[in-house]
Amino acid sequence: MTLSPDPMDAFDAQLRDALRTLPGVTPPAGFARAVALEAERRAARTERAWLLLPGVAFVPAAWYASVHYGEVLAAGFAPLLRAPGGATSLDWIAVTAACLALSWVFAQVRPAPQR
Amino acid sequence: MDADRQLVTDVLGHRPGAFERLVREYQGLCWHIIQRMVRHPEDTRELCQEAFLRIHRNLGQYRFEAPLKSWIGQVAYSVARRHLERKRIPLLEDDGDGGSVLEAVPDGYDLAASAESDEQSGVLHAAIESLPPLPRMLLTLHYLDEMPIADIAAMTGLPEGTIKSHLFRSRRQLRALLEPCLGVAA
Repeated sequence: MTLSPDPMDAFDAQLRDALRTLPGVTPPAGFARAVALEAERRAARTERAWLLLPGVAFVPAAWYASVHYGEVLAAGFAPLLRAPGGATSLDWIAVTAACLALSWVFAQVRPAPQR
Repeated sequence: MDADRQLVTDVLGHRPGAFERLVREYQGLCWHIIQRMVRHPEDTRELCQEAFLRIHRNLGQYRFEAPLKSWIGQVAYSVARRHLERKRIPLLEDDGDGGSVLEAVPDGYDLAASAESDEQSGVLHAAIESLPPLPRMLLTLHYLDEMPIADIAAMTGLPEGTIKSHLFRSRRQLRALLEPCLGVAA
């Protein structure tokens, strides 16, 4: 007994026709377009998540540092804060806000969607 | 192969419309594999989309060692197979001697309507639907998509001998079913 399928004959043609005419054998119209759009959407979302990561990580890191190392940080920055024309605490807050804002802006920048 | 390379390069380079072209090119194959294994229209649509999203995500890992068609087929097969495993649906069932195929027709299949429309193809449709997921999918790839057995083996990871055996048995089973009912010469 050979394990190969029999040579093509009338039954094979019939079988092929039956397979072709089975219900639901073709994807619905517009499927390719819908999938492509969904792929773009997910890729953009993933990219945004990665770009937001530094900003998201910065906030808890800053909070942890201020709680646990507040005194050390204050001592370390004291000369800078005391220096004439040096940065005030408000300046540091402004710098932090600027970092977060930049992170958000970068998250909005992504390749143009495929059309 | 050159066309595949160009298509993949276009998709990876975010060329407008490239991924949609890829989906359009291979949606038939993907759909056949998943639909023949899963058989549920909504699940098929979701899984087919999942397969293409996975392809989009991992296309950078495609190394052109096999035709793109095989690589995409592998992804589709793996998605469908995992779905069946999650639902605890066996890829292969013990179908005994194959003498009572019509008894195994699934509940959702409208055998009467199918048989009314065209008796011969209706019986054949019902018989195909009654096959377990794996042989049903192998039949579709071999007869409908006209894929060589070597390509099917690469796609499914099954030995060529196993695929030939499944095809041989399914074909014999379907043919044996048609003989008494419709007088087809064997």
